[in-house]
Amino acid sequence: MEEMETYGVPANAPAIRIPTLQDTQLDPLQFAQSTCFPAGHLVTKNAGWRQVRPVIDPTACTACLQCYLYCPDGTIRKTHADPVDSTQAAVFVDLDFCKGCGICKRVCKFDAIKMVPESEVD
Amino acid sequence: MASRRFLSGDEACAEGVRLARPHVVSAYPITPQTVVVERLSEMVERGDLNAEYVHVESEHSALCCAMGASCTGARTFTATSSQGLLYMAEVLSYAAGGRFPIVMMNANRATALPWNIYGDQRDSLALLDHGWIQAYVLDNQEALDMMLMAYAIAEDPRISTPFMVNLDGFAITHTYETVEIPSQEQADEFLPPYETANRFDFENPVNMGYSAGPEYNRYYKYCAHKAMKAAESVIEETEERFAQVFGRKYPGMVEAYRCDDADYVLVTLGSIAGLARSVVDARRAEGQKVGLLRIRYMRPFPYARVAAALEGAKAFGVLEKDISFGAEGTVFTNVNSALQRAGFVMPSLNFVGGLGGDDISEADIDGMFEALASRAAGEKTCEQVVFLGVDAPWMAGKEA
Repeated sequence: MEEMETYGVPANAPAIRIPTLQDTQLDPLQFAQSTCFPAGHLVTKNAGWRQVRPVIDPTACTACLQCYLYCPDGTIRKTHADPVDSTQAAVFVDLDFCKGCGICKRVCKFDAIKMVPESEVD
Repeated sequence: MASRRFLSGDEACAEGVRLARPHVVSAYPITPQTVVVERLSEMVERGDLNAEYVHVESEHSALCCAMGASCTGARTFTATSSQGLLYMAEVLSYAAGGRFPIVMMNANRATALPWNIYGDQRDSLALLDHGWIQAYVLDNQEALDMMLMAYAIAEDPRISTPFMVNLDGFAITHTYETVEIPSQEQADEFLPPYETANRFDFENPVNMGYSAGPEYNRYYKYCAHKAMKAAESVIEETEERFAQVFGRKYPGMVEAYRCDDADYVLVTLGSIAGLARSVVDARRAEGQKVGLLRIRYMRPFPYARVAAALEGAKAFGVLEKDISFGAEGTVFTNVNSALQRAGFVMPSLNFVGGLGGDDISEADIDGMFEALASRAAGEKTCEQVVFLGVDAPWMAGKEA
């Protein structure tokens, strides 16, 4: 019977404790004790399978917004950039959600979007 | 002062709930649970119970309502049975995942089809995986007492897990016994008010019941599992404290009756353990070494205690009012797992009976012990999973 498991409650057993956003280190074994948390929506990046990412050339972008309209995942957002400002594009891609499908590149009439392998960035 | 009254299991359950002082009772009536919620609504009407009684339109809503109330830090109660419990199933995992210590009474009843209002345990046993503590009581006194212990265990900050108290439909819910009803003072001494950080609070606003994707989801399940396992010792602590206050001592997660030197042990749960106990006594009187193991808690499952009770037996049988079609009774599966963990191998039979309220007789239980003895002697007189009244070996040559 030695191998039989016995379960006691350790003295330091985590009671339900609601962490605060000021906690320096958020330990999932603490906050996962309940679904009660200040602003506790846990954002999940939904882009883990992206192999190539769109990179926008602001000098070529004309702010036509075709990519913004065609993105099937709604990951392309408008910026407030001045359309004649060639240092900042009129759109940016939310890479937490972009799947790298390349539709934006396909619809861009100005070759302003390149698909760059993930291994070559960051 | 404690008093003694002649009560049905449903009424005893309602008295236990009253003594626990829930803030919110939300329920939908269903046979054989109906009397519980009728009595509670009468208590609220008379002012004997200061609770918000919510007449909901379905069982799904009943548990949603209890969960919403629990989110505000309220002590909550609901009750259901059979199809009603199955209708709640979606919310069961919500309540468990949110770690809301709701207490629910379930009157064990057959599941459709064919439609049937009588007792079996296929309703709650089908829902073992939903994260609720599950207890099965033997009699009306235990039903009352279990309500108080259920709140104490469920609300313990180390546990914070919802609790389902199961009473066999009709055999317990509608059978009358003399029950000792503790005084409110005793109940209050045993069960302090519910306090939790897991709730809405205007001073410290929180977001409750949120989503957690693949990155964090596993931690929630891990914590729920650990809390449920920790309930094993909290149950024992609670029963100890219960005995100090009320003078009644419960035997822990299992009740091993004359198992110590037993060659053949029958494992079962719920009201049928009463009859099995008298058969064990009769056979012991004839010098046969038989024992009874009554499982009181199916979740958390008392692996070590089950294995310890069966250690040294020549064969064991599990009698249960459940069948997982195409497999075996679920209690049998769990008991086998306990033995496998402990490294014990012994012949075994699974007796599936009492389905749809079918009577299980003394002769049936005698037959089970006979079948176990022949199984231990290497004879194969029946399938491993036996349906009482259909293919039980002691039926041979008799009219069904």
